[in-house]
Amino acid sequence: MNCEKIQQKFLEMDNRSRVPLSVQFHILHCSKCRHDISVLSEQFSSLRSDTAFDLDRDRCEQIMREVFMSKVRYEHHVSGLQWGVVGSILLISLFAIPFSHSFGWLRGQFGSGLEIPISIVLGLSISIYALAGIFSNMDSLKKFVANLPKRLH
Amino acid sequence: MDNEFKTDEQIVRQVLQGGIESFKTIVERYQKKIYSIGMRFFKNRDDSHDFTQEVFLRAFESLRTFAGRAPFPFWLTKIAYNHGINRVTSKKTEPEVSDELPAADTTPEKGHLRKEIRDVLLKAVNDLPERYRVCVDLYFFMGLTYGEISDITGYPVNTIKSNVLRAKNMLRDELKGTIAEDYHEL
Repeated sequence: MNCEKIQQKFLEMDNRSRVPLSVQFHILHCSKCRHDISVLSEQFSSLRSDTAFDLDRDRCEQIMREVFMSKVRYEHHVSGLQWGVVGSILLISLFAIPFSHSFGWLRGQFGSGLEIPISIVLGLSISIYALAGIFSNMDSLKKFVANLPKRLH
Repeated sequence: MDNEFKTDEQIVRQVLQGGIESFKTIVERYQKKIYSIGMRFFKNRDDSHDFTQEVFLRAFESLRTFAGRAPFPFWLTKIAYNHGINRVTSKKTEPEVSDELPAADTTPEKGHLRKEIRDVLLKAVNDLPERYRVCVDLYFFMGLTYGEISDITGYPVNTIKSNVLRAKNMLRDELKGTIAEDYHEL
């Protein structure tokens, strides 16, 4: 294949595509094409950090002011599924506590009167956790409840 | 980690997690490119500045729709292009004389070379029909592929390919024996 054909093949290449094998092979032994292709690819990639028109003033601050005034807000959000999974693990752990070795030791030391205060504390903790999960996903929960009759039918 | 070294996708995730100020990095990275697209549509600075501002606001407000399947520049360009088309259609803007400024570069040699290359490309672009100029800009300055440009503009891939190839050939011919080749040999 002659040099002109190889160079055309190179020019036909798309952005983010690999150099065809025939071109790679050709430039291994053709110093002229190697030089030309190297110059061209350098110039093409230099254009990527350039623009056709120059910005005469930085609009970044102005744009960010508009962005901060936008009605759309993004907040750190833990999905209902994540709340549910972690909640289930907590709940299973709570039910497993009476069967644990440590709990048996505590019962041995303080007697069976310990169970009621521990149950109250753990019950309160899991309730607070559940409430936090529900309130942080109130919108999706409302949607789910509103669509429930449709789903049931 | 400084935002400067983060990918667009990482910054988008940060914004969606509530770090709105990180959006500034996106604006800094792409404001020139979006302004340039604006200049292709409106041919005047004021409209292009308004356009840039509107595009970034739109992008911010629809950031949740960016799924990360396509590169971020493609997603942003799509918003910009569609907004440009809508704005031109609604305003019926007539092309005016464009006003370009020289680029600010780190060294005089690089600046001169870059200007020369860009001038050659812009000359090649200006020989193309008006509606295809933006395609060549998107290819060279935004780094989009033929398929992505076709997806954004709706023009056939082969038409875009032949226009880009024409520009590339012009660029190659003009580069022969110019400063670019001499510079490369240094």
